[in-house]
Amino acid sequence: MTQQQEKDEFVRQWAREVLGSSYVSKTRPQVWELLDACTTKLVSALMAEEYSPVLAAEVGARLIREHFVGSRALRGTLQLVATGLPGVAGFTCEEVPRERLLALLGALAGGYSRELRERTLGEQEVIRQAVLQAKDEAEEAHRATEARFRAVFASSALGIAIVSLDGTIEDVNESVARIFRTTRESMVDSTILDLVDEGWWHELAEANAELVAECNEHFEVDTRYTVPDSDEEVWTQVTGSLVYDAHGRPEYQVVLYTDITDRNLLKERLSWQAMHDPLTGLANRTLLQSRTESALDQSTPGHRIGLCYLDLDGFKTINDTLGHRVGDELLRAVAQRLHEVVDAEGALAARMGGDEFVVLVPDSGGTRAVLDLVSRFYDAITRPVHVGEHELSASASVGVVERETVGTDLYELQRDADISLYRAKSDGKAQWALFDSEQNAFARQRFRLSAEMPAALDNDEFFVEYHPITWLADGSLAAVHAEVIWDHEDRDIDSAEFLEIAEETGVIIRLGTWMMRQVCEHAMEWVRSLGSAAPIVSVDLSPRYFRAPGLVDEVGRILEETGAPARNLRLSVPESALFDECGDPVDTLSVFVEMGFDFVVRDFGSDYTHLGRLSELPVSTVCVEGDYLNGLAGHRAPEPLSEHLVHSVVSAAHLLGMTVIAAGVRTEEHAARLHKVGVQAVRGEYAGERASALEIRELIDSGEFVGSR
Amino acid sequence: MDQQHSGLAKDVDMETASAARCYDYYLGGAHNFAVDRELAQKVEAQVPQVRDLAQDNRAFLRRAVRYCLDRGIRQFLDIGSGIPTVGNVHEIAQAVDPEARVVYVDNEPVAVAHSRTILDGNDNADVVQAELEDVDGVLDSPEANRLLNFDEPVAVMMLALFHFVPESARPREILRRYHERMARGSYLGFSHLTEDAHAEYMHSLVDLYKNSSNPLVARSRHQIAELLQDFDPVDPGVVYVPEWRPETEEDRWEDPSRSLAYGVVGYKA
Repeated sequence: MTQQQEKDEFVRQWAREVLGSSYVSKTRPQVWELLDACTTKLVSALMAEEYSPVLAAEVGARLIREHFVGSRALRGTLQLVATGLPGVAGFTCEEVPRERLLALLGALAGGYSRELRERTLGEQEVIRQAVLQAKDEAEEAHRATEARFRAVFASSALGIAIVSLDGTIEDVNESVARIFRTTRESMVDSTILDLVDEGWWHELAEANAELVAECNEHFEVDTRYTVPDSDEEVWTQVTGSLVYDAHGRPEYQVVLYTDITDRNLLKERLSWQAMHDPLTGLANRTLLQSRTESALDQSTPGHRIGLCYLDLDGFKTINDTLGHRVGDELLRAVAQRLHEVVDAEGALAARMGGDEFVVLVPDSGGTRAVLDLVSRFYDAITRPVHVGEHELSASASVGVVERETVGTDLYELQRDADISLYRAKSDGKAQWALFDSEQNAFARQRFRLSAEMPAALDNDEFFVEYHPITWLADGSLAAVHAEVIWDHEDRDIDSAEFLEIAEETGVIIRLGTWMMRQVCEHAMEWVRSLGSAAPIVSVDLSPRYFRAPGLVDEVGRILEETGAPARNLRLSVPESALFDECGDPVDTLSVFVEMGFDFVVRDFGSDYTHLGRLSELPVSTVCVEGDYLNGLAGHRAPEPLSEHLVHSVVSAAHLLGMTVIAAGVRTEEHAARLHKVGVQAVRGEYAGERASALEIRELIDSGEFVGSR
Repeated sequence: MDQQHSGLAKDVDMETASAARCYDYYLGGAHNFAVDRELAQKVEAQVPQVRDLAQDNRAFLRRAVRYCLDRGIRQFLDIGSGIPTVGNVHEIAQAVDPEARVVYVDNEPVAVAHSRTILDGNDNADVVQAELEDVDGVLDSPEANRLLNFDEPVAVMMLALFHFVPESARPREILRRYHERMARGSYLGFSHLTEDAHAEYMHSLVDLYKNSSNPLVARSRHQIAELLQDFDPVDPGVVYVPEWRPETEEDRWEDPSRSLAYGVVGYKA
């Protein structure tokens, strides 16, 4: 092995001894290079004429600077130098003075440990400084956060309070003091409940308790506070949330106060407007409804409620003749008087619109007490009212309901009050009527039917069938009489009943038109299938329908669209409907006659007013019906008075040149007696059962009915 | 929540051992306190090769940085840099090119303060205190803005870092977001503890670090490859750190798996 090879081997072994005990940022070849230089230094120290510890100490320090800081690095280095360095220098161990070698090792170790101590202390100092610096920075950040919080706290327009978990105020900002018209100092140590009026204690305390118990993350309640020694009311929106400590336990709460007084005033004004009638200042429908509902909610046994519906009589006339300004003044005066009387009794007066008013007695002392109140406000509103130069007297119809709240509901109450008012009005105006279930059952029934009828028309619940009218002389078919039938889903309704309601409510216009069209379609169908054998059809037109504006056009259109010939139809109307108020025949008559219609006067004999002028009209036929006809129906001898009446009515018709038909004839005997007094044709059971248009056609086709005119 | 977002300072906790200062201890440094040494010595008693593996990880950093330097990378982002004892990225890089720029990132205030001291006067290196998960906070920090250009290739170093990121923090997502911001041609240096071999050592480590500021989670080679699926691993792929391009044959361990850590350098194509 050459000297150089010996040295290389020494260096590599040295690298193995020192690498791995601590991290060095050099690669292994770089470490070899470094240790090679160190080896050279040590050799020269070993070989020096005069020994110096400097070189060896430098090598020790260099190892530390390169971060060979592990104890294994020093141990390995010392052992290797002690055993291997003489060989690298070209000697055997025995040839090197022992003292020189030990001194060299000592110097190397001394340099190493001095540098290690320096380095360690240096690093400790650096890390300590780093900790201090980090702490300073954290502290600074805390201070900045704290300062920012303080700035927010102090300058916020929002009131901020720091509150302990038991509700004690620990600190507040200036805004809280301003909102509650006091000073910050005086608020500290009071509680959040001190900042609300008694009525809000419970709500706030409960919300706060739930927050502190961590049931809720925050709370928000609107509260009122009355400033002591003044009437000033402060409304605030109070929002609370919890602040947790480092261990996640609630530490304190932050409560925010927003002054919402102005917002509340506006809200109150808006809500007053939403609940009141602008003309009279009385409650409106919304407020009435809500008060009625809350009165009904009181289900204490024996609790009673009263509801009165009022309609001013003849108000429309006042409006039409004296103008709306006068009408409005009258409404205001009535409203004022109504309010004065009922308000004193704890009742509520409301205006529904137009001339309709309602009085709610939410806590009624009984029917007698409510009727007493009605009579008092009735007196008040009917006293004359002076508007400008006019002295007006209002009169009203009143419907009253008074009953226990248990077992009734809003709908029922309103409906019954409405029915009572309806009864009061139909009994004649300026009346009041108390709801009575028996009396009102009938009214209620009609009420319901009138409500159902328009929908029934839409749903095709009506249909038309025909009663045969036969000549008494030979039993042949004289005509058929149309009847409208309501296929009501619940029960049978007599057509006379619903037609009367339709007449009252005005549905008769739609129903009449519908029926007219049905009849024309059937008549046309008969013309098509039976030709000249097609029967004449008589159809009842109600007085209201007969006078409906546009009726002529409507009927003309129906004829055109269906193609039915007018000569096949007989329009059946009551005598009174043929004449106007002055007793002259109505204008439409001549138009209908021009169109080819003929008329039947129904209920002939019930009214003799226009008898004399009937002959002027295109009427060929009269129909008689009614109880007095039944006097001839029994098995016993005819009842003389009835016989006389029938006789005189029929005679009158004959004198006018009319053909006479009797309705409601059931038996042959009845028919025979009527025939005897001059009745020419009959309908009813005797003449034949009611049948559909198709059945009528089949009956005629089969020869069952012999057509004859 | 990190400092920037909450507006609140992260407290300097000197009561609990820090992984960064323990690591410094394993490397032979004295930038540590009794509390750190106590944990480090406990670890050493259970896992005798812990100093070796810390040093090997540090050597892997050196080789990975050199690898990137050799491929022309001149900007480095070292996340989870810890206490920079010796062989820091800026020392390695600036020894090759004094203009090389380096940004260190750590979430631990003391480590950051320490780095600041070390870097005082070095215009091409700086440190950011931020959380790894706060990707925008890291990449858009004033320091990164000043020193790094993400339109050009960058080397991001995440050594011995992700074994402190539990699944609940969605590590895959974090890596994806860094990948998104890195230019094509960038590199990722990555090392991670594993229990694929010598699980008993790994379990001791996990146990010992459980109550430190930095609990550990070990991952398998497969899991690590999955974490890095956005990157193409350069040769030799995911291997035990001593096996990753050793400078001499002597630097390979007889049993590389005793290093308990995988190393890999990924490339963004």
